[in-house]
Amino acid sequence: MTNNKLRRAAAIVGVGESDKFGFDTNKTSLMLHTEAIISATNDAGLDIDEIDGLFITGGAGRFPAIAMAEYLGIRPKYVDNTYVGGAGFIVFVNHAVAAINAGIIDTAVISHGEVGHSIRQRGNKGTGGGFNYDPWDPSMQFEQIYGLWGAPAYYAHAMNRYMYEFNVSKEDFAQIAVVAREWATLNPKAVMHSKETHPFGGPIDIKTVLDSRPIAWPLNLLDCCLVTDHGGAVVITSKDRANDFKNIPVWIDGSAEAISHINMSQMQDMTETSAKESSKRAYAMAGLGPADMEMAMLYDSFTYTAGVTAEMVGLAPRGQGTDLWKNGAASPGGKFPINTNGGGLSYSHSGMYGILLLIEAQRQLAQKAIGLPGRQTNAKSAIINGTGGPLASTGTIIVSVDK
Amino acid sequence: MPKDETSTSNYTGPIPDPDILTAKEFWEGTQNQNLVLPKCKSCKEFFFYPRIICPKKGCHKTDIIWEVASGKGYLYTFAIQHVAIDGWKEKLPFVTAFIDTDEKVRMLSVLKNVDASQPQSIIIGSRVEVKFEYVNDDISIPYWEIINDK
Repeated sequence: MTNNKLRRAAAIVGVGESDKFGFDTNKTSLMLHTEAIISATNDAGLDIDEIDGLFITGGAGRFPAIAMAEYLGIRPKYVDNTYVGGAGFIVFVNHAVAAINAGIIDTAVISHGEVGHSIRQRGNKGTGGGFNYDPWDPSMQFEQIYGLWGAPAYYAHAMNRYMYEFNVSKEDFAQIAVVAREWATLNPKAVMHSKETHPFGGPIDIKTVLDSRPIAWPLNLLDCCLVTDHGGAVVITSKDRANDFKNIPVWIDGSAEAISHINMSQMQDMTETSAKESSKRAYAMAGLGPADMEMAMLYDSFTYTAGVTAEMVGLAPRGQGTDLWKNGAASPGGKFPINTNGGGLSYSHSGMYGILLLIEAQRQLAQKAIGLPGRQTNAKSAIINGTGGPLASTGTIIVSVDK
Repeated sequence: MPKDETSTSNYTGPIPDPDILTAKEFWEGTQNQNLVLPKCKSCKEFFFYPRIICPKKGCHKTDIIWEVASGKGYLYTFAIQHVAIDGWKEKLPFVTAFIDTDEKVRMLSVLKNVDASQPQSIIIGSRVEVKFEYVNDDISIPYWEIINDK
């Protein structure tokens, strides 16, 4: 299924983050959203009243897009709060491209704000608590009874099956965390940049990962992403308006989404994700392939997620995804940089990380990646893949700048 | 099968509220230590979790029947939990697993009587058999054990 008329129908023209992120920001999720939207619209040179499409998920209550529009004091003509987990922001790009191409909107803002860390500290006080899940929901009936706590409990099963099928070790996956930290040490904004930013920040080695406490074997603490507070936003506009803003357009060559399951018992092969399908469709729309990519932003909720995704999007043969990190390709100065901000593992991850993949890819391609020497790459094209839920959903975007 | 003499329960985990609309037969089966699974009357394939439509590609019929399953299967994968929700914390570390039953359905469960401190001693692909932990007169919770059975 190709849809080449959508190729370069839209471009990313602005990105921004909340004024503070990481631990203990002392902000609400709506404040984080708002700061990010102000920052991204300033970055683009867009008036907030010009936002005609608002794409929001997470951290804004039960009616996220309406709540955010109300908070900002705007009345966009197109809203979307599709909930597919942390892949949502990549999926939103796919939706925004369609809405822009259809002529419904000119300029979309995709936004995220979440107090992943602070909510653990504050707790569900007052009227904030309670999820009201249906006890007859299949996951409540047949999975919640077994004590599983959060995402690592589930992902660990997939990683173990993968290790069994492909004879890949915990050490191999640990290298993904080590390389993420290498990138973080070049990025002063990364939560784990150094001992100044976090008591356990700065460089790590494989032993550090293997010696960190077990969460759900085979996942240790340092195989798992951070849990922080963060706000991020991205401005996307039409081909016709792409050159009206302050940044060079980062063109959206390809975009696609795919889903496979939500209860992990329904995941047929735990060594494969739907990124295989979403990347295939995104490449087809772009008329490009893995060999045309010069860097990648691959959602690293866990070391396993990044490793298996590299294979799903065609960057490595089956069973050999971790080689990209082991042979130095993914590292600073390597021939195929991956997760150049430091990743969810070492930069920041508030619970739904996808927006930060988009922001970093824009900064790299627009040559705006600020940090120590080596952080800014020369990449002119990138593949971005978000993974949401228990390996349940994916969105893939192919972006490039004119050479 | 009779319950143990006292019919008391040591179960500390969350107790599900049985879904009497789509999973009644499953939970009633557990009262008699039986794994009872839904099956599509049209394509003859089992599936799990219970629902009102056959999820198989090319079928999607809505005539669902129930059959007592073999209670045996293979260990597809497992994980060793070092963090858990309330009711399971006192059992840490414990082993959770995805089981592929002989009826070709996959279920999340707990694998008992294995050494959680020695993950290498637990072999993916092992033959497993279902057991039930008595909770109350309405339900028992399925769990699995490795068996010597080729």
